[in-house]
Amino acid sequence: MAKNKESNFLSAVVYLPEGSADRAVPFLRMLYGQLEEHFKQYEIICVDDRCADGTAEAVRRWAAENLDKPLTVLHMSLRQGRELCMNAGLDAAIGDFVYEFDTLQTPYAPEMIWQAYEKALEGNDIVTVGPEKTRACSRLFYSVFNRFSRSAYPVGTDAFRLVSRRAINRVHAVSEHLPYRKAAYAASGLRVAALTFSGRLAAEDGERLDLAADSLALYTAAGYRLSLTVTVGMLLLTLAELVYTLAVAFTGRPIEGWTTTMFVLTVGFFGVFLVLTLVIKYLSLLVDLVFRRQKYLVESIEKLQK
Amino acid sequence: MTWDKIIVGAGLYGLYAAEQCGARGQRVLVLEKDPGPFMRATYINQARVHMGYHYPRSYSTAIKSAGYFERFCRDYGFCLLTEFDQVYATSAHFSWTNAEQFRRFCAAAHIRCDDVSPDKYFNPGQCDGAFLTTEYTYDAQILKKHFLEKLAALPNVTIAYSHKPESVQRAGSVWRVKAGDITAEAPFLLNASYAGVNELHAMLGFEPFAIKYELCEMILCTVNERLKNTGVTVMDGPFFSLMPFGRTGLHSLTSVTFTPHVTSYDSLPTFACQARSGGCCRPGDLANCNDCPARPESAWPMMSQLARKYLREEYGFAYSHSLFSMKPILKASEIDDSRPTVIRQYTADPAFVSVLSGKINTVYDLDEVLRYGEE
Repeated sequence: MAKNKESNFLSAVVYLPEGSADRAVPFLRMLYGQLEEHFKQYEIICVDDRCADGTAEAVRRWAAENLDKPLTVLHMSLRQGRELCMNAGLDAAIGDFVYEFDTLQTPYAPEMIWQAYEKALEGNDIVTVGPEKTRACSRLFYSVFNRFSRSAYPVGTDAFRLVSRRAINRVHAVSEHLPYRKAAYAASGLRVAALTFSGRLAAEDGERLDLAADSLALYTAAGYRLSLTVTVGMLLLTLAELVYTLAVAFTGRPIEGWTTTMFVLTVGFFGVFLVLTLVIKYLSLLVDLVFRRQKYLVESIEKLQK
Repeated sequence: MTWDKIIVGAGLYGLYAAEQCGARGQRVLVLEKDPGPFMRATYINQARVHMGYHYPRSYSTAIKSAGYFERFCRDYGFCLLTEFDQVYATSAHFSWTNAEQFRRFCAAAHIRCDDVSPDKYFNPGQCDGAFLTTEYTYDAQILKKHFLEKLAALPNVTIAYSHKPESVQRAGSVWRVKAGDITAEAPFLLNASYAGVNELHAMLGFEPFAIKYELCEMILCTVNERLKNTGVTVMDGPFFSLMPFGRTGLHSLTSVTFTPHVTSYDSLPTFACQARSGGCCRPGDLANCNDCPARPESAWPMMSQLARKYLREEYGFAYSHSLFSMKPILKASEIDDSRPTVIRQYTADPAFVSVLSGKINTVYDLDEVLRYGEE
């Protein structure tokens, strides 16, 4: 039975880290099967993060024998990590929709690739597919992130995601570089849907901590809020100290010079914290101005007419 | 029969040579294997009259193109479309040249390059620079009519269509060429058969040009009002061009990655599709890909997708039809992106000259060699 295939053009970007020689081909076979089954037009883009273990050769061999749709392999000049590689792949993709496979792990049923697309057609520009259960440190990071994030949608651990061309244009309009795609999509102001599966994703190594710090600073108000909290706390402490100093000065008999010293110290520290908060406020404003080129985001425009 | 010159190939280079020599009173025979002139590369290409913008990594090619540009416009202005905005843009990603380098290059080559906002034409973040340039497109059918009229007025020039040289022999100080029912002799043989250039070399045992062959598809599109008077070329890498196709009212869509369908590195090109061509095409005798039953399926889904990724939605275009032709590319010119015109003289008495050029306005490179032996 001939099935009606989707005529939208799909791109799939796949990240190939060092050591994926054995996993790349089975993954691509699964992906190819799914795309071939459902889509008339598609392309696959593999980003070879300077693998020295023959991953690219294995992919090339497999593609030459099995693939009749275009496969692009982007060879990075030096090892640059997941985010930069996926950005390169995203820039190369020409699809109306782009699948981003950050990992070759497939703890989900292959049909979820198609389900993500169906979900997108319901009006979701971004569809994320992630496990129900995540590791404790991921949970901690994402809960901090989502707590301080300004976006309407929470981010979490994903196995892969599907983004529309509209979403890609939007995140590029907001900011030229995407240090953390996931957060950029969540903050794009477009509709995000999440699908979950019951498996787990194993941890993958990478410069996670750095990325976590960067994305907290860029996409959330965590830094500013933290320093504000510290300042207010310190302010209260300083005020208490001031009251105590005055009380001792009037009631007790402090050693000569103690009152003045305490006075200078408390007022001085209060001033320092205040100035630091101001500095951090200005810094976060600067980050905002440099990083975000578009000030407001619109999800859709609805016009009601008689 | 004896002639002053025999020219193989009735493309622009062949007919230009015939007209030049014919006007000087020489008896010229043009042999063309297709049933008409301008049926392959002269017609099936982007129809760009190159000003040099296309070669931001080869100043020499750029400066030469710019030099011939004015002369070509003066001589053949009647076949040009000049009234449109030709936009060159540098892709923000994967380009070998960025906006600043392109500006510097244009300044050095003394060619126009006015900044316009990339946002006017392109989706956010796709291009880091866009420039209004001066570049024209020619209409091969109008040019063909011009040459045919000129040549019709020269009784000393004969064009024999559907005549492919089957054998070429040296007979003293002339070449004896057999093509179907014609046997002709001349002391000068000009090989202007473009993708067929090595076929004559193989017959004569001359060293072949080091070229690779690409079977290329050019898509003709209908466009909406916004795009009607605009040509767009995104440089410099795996991108695309969508520009007016002469005065036809259609636009040509081409892309670096999807226009070439198959490539052959053999000196006489071998392609898998030749087996399905019904016997009309083989290595050493390329048929016209455009009429071939084995021509490839259109790459429109890919090419249109690539263009749509870059172009803003209001610039609309739709598929009309595809043209296919064989394009020879000098192997030496890939890194620096240069597209030199190669003119090589193999023998002196009788003279055998081969010409290979991918650009229409460098046809004047022929002048010097056509005067050979006249002094």
